Amino acid sequence: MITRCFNALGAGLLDFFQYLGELVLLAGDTFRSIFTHKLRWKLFLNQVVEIGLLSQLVVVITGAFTGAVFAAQTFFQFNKIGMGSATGAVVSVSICRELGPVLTALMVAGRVGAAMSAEIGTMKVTEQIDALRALAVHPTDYLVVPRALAMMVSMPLLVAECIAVGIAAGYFIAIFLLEINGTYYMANMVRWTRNRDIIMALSKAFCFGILIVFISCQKGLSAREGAVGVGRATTEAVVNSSLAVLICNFFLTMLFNIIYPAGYQ
Amino acid sequence: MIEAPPSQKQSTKPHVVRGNSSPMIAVRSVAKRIGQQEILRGVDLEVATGETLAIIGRSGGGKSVLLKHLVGLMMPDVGEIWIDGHNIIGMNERQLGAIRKKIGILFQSGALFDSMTVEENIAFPLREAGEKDPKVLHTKVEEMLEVIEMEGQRAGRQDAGEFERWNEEACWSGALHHSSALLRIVR
Repeated sequence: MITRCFNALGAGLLDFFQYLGELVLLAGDTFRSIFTHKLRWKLFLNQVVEIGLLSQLVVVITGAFTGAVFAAQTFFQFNKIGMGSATGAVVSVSICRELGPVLTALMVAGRVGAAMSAEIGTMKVTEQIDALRALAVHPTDYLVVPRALAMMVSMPLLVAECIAVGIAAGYFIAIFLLEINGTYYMANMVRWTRNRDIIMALSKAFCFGILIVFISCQKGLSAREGAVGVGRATTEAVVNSSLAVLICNFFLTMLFNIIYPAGYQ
Repeated sequence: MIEAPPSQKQSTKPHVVRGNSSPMIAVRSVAKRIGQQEILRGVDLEVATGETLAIIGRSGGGKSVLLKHLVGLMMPDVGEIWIDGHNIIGMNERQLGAIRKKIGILFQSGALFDSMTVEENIAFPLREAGEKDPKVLHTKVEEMLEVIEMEGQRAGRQDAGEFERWNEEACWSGALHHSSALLRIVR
């Protein structure tokens, strides 16, 4: 029984490292292709529309309600110690550094990541990817590169939009509902929100976008067993992307704390 | 599993067209196992330029697996595969591209790209080969559609998924569906 446990653990670890290896190889092949092969501009622009333009509603709603609730909760606690006017600063910095990038990435993983893995997975099980290969078209060049580039362009923009909407929603809730002094709110927000917060937000957005696109595409490319396999690949793409975003967020936060130590002005 | 039947062991020597040219396709002692099942074992064959070879066998016998090996979509566990003087074993995906441009393969289910119309499917390899002129593309596609008597018809402008449903509703044979896929590989 102990042997079986170790076998199971070992097999699981081997599968995990194999999966990591496949991801790294796919990423390497994609970046090599970006610099060495022609870009299919039409496919890239289609993906920018799919990822960026069609995610507007979900990102705006996410940003708005996140900013609103965070402003409310922050005020409820800070007002107890007479610091209600600091709500603006806390909301702004938190949305820039954490909530904006992470929540946007989770929404995009669910919407775009699922679509990518489902589409590519369906192509895999219906032999369309084999047909591409047989026509001497590299699947990475045709399927992954346009999506990766579109994600790298769209994610920072989506996160920026989420942050802007979140801060705006927080402001309106604070001023009109919570009756915080608008002048102090804005002054504190402007004073404590720095360029580094924006840099962190956009850097995280870029990293999260890369994670989502490669995890989703890899799951699609390795889908098997028909409809069941595609469904499984889609689910795993969303779950793995979401977990990767959360884990990566922690390490990026710690890294940025080294680059911009707490108290750095 | 593809293997020479016992009664024909006397004639297992691959058929070769006599002449000075080496075979266009040569398969030497190829074996392939998928999971626990042995699909190919000791397969040898040669196909000379201009020769037609038909491989027939029962369903699940390994015919499609063998064909996929010939275009490098699968790699054998053992053996060599030579296409036009090149051993494709060990080639990576990009190196295989040059070999695949010499080969056309029609998949069992057609494998039309369902994100495109039938016309776009037929034009796909032309576009990938670098043809950009829309008039040239249109002319070539219409020529191809004329072959299966679909020129000017709406079916050519349907997306491939809708085309498959139309194909079934019209009770046409799978040959029409396959013809569209075939036209895609003809360059």
